[in-house]
Amino acid sequence: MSTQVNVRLNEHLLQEIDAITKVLHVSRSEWLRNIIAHAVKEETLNLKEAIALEYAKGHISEEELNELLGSESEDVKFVVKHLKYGKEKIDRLVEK
Amino acid sequence: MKNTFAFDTSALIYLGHTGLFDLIFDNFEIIISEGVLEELRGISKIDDEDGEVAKIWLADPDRFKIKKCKRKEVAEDELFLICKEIGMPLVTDDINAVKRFEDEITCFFSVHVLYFAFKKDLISKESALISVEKMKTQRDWKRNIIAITSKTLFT
Repeated sequence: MSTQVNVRLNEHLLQEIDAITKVLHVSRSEWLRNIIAHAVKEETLNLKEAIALEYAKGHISEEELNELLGSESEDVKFVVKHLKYGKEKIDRLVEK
Repeated sequence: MKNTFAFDTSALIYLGHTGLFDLIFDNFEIIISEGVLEELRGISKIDDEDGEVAKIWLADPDRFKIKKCKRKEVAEDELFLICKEIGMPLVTDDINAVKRFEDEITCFFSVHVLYFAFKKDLISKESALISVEKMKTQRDWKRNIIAITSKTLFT
């Protein structure tokens, strides 16, 4: 199922989009759909990476991590805990 | 003196992307199983970045110590047996394997090898962080959790 969304674009941007779609032999709608899907995927990934790093730095709580990442927070919590465990082991190994 | 660690295929591939082959060979006696050797050979036949890394690891197989054990369907399970028998740590980036093994053997992530090199002053903080970035070769969330969060090791 799809829903129509109306977006206003400035004339110059629209000309650039039309030039690209002409070269690629795709419709304006199809090209925009692909670009938006790709951008959403990338932004979601960037956001998840930022959240994981903030948790690892101790800037957000476990509860906040759970809320933001849902079930995916489990692996992040495990990795962060295991990184600390391994760090302590390596510290002791280097001190020997 | 070298540290004797077992390495699984994922760890060798991730670490290989850093290009620090000599540093790793110079500081670690690398133990692998027959299954890991087979996996590396398989990956080396693929025409991509992982394949290139596998080829470099395999260029001098004498630098590995291949331990024989009862063959298992999964190479990590072979390494688990070897590590348990010898009392040696396993380096793996397989989160599920670490969850399965951590109560019985010591498991490290591949970034811990970089942390070891950093603590020993073999690489700078900047080199370590660049190496971590190089390990994020694919835009895959689950595959990159370790690399993303490991940046905190070097602060």
